[in-house]
Amino acid sequence: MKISAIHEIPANPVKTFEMLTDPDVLVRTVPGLNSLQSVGENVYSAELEVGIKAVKGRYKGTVKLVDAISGEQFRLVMDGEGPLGFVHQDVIIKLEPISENETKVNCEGEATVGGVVAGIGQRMLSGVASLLMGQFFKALKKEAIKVSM
Amino acid sequence: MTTVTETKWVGRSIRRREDPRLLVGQGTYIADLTLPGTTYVQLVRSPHAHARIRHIDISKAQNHPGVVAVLTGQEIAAAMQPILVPAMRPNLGGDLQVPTVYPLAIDKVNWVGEPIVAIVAESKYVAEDASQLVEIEYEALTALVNPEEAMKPDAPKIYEDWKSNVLWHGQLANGDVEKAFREADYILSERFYGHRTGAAPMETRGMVASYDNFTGLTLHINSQRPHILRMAISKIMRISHDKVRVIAPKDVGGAFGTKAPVYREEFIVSYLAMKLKRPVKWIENRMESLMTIGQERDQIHNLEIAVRKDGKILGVKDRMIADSGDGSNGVYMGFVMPWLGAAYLTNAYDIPNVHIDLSCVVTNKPCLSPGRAFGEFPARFAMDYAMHLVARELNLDPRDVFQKNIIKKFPYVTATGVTHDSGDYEGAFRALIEAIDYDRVKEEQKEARKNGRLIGIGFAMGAEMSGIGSQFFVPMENQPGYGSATVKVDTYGMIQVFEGDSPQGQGHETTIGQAVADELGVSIEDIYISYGDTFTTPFASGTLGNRGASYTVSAAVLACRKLRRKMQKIAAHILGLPLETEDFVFTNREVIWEQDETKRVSLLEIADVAILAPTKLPPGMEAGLEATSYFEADIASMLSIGAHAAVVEVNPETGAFKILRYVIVDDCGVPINPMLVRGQVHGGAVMGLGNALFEKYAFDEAGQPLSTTLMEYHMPSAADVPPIEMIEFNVPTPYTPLGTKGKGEGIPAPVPATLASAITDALDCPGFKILNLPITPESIWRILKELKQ
Repeated sequence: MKISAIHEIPANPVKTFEMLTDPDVLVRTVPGLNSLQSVGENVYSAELEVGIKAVKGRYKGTVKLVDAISGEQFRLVMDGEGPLGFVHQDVIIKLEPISENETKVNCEGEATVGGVVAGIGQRMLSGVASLLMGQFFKALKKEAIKVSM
Repeated sequence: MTTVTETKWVGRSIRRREDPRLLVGQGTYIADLTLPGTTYVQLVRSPHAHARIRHIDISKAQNHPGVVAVLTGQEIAAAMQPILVPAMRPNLGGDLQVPTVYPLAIDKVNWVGEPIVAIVAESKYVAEDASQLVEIEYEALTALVNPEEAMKPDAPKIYEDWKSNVLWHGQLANGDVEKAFREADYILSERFYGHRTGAAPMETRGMVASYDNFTGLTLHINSQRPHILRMAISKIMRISHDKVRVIAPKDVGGAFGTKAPVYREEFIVSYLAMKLKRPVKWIENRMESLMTIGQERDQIHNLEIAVRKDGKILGVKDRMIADSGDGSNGVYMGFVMPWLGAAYLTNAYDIPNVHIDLSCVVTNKPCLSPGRAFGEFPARFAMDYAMHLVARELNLDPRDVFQKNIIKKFPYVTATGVTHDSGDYEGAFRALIEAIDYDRVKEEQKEARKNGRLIGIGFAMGAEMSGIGSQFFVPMENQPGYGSATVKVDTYGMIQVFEGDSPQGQGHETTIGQAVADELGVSIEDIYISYGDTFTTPFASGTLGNRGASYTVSAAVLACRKLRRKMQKIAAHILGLPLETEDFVFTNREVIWEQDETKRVSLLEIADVAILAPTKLPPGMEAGLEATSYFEADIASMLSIGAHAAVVEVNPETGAFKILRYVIVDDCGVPINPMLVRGQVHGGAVMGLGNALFEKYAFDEAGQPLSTTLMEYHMPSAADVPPIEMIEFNVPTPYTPLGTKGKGEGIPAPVPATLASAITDALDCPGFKILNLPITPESIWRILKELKQ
């Protein structure tokens, strides 16, 4: 499954990059993300809870930040296993300044899902992904506004 | 003259004796069986198509309230042999590599759905909840989903100790193929693909096992072959045969071949019942079913046909590649189906020179399991549609090409070694052409074309197996081909028949009853049929491959005939006639001497003498009235012909097509119950339509199944099915006592070539060929679009 999304964050690229790579911010903003523990340099173990019917359940996994260039881009590699299946996601996130206090966040990548999730949730998975992504960026925007205030 | 009985039951379309209980919801299926103290199994299955198992943590599941036991692969492997013991492997020559298969995966998974952990709990809900607490760490490996890629020498290997991913490789060949190709005026060469599809029975698999020290293991399971499964469990689990009893329930909601293999769950449930000394129940859910069983076909045919310019086929070459999945099922190992597809490739045609090279390749998909039209579905599509393409290429009438090649003399042995016993294939084909009104449709086609309507006509044939004799069946599946039955007259003069097969909707209570009623001169109401219990029925291979009307009914008839000889003697003795007196008629529950009809004895009196008052028996005669017979036809195999034709209309803009007429001419030898035959033919055609047009077990590139609900695996509904006209064209076989042959197995197979040839004829567009199944409006549209470019 292809992942492709563009969002605008009311903060400059450096600030946006910091927020996107800050575990504390992510726990607050990623829907269902319960914890993000650092287990190595740029590697975190994550616990995620999804409440959407077909993919409902707790997922455990790792999140890796790779090829990070501060203020410009990074690659997010996530692996999750849950009772209903697994998710593997590899997304490149590029940051582009729009104005002094605005950044365009461009996400491009692939997600592989397996197990029951893939079989039954197939029809709605891309919908679920964009819904969750939308929720995340909405929360991130709020976070950015809060920080700038 | 003397042994002829009046035929009262065979040949009549009486209503099925099974239906009253089924129609009012009183059928007893496996899920209806719950023993006191039953526990329930939920299986944790792999979400990965190919992965190493790094770690399994069952502690949370074990501690979940209501959980009775949690079973891992290591534990169960230590308790038994790997499933594919020699008796579970086909002996078809060629090169076979055998995977080591245990009931639960231990350190590696090879397909999405492979069972890894079994949870046993006090309720099925608790079991399901606890199954979500099992934590498994995987290391994902590249999934192999394409057999052509998987068979390349540099492909990663699914079984690391194998020399390649080729499960089975071998040839079926005879005649001088090279000469045939040298002498040919035209050689057609195409790659045909029949996709992964098959069956999805309404009732999924299910089983209940119980164990106690006295009786041993009792496994209730909706299996097509309880006796073979009993043997397998005894051997693999190393349990003495007398301590294993397999019982198939009275009612089974369809199988279509899917309940014939020996799977892993049987061992999991049996082992747990023995370990826990409590009944253990497992009923497969729909999603498990759609990701585990019913997946058949999946063959690539690189077919070459050498033809003379008059349409006579001189020889056939085929490089066949089958996607066997993981090859793990007992009895078939995912390659007997394509093997039989190869053996039956030349169908109803006289083709002396054949060379087939078959590679069955393992991939990260579930193992192929048998489906109605066993292995033949893609083979018939390739062969019969190719004959239409030949006709188009050589500007011949396809009718003439078929007629020229149809087998005309019987018995006939194909180059691949299949014996066709008897019949009139040419007559059936002519009846089809007449019934579809071929010439008129061709005229109408021209007229319609003037108005911009594209109408086409197509046809195909299918010579289907009607049971397989031991000489073929023993090497194929390590099982006898004979039919077996015990017939007993009880103390009340009623007749009990025991059969070793176990039906799944075929109507044995009706058809065996009809045959026995005639033999013994009783009413069908006097007969009761017992089946399914391996402790009481004679050994048999199971209800599959059209064995019933060919072999099992014949065994029941022979057992009746043995009994009649004894009953006749008792009657003569009671009547004061010499014991050797013949000329008795069995009718209306009486045995009547033809020469003096006042001399008659009731069946009840004979039963009374034989069972309750043996002092009245002829001197020296053994008491009792029962006989067992094993019927083996005096020929390697029997086949029966079906011929299909369709008229379709195609919209070239969208690729949509409509079936305007669908006609089937069908031979089943002597029909025991014509209504049941019609039901089989109708259901078989609908299954063929579903497989050819809608049903597809789809996977993504990572081997994830995409058809795990009946929404994605679309089976035809009434609205999808055109009216099907059926014409009986029955030629009794001389190889069974009543001239009967089994019917139902092969009927789906001619459907795809029938439709493909009709669509091709309608479009009549140079270069238009349907080479891949399923046939969908989209696929037709794409072919047309490519031709335009």
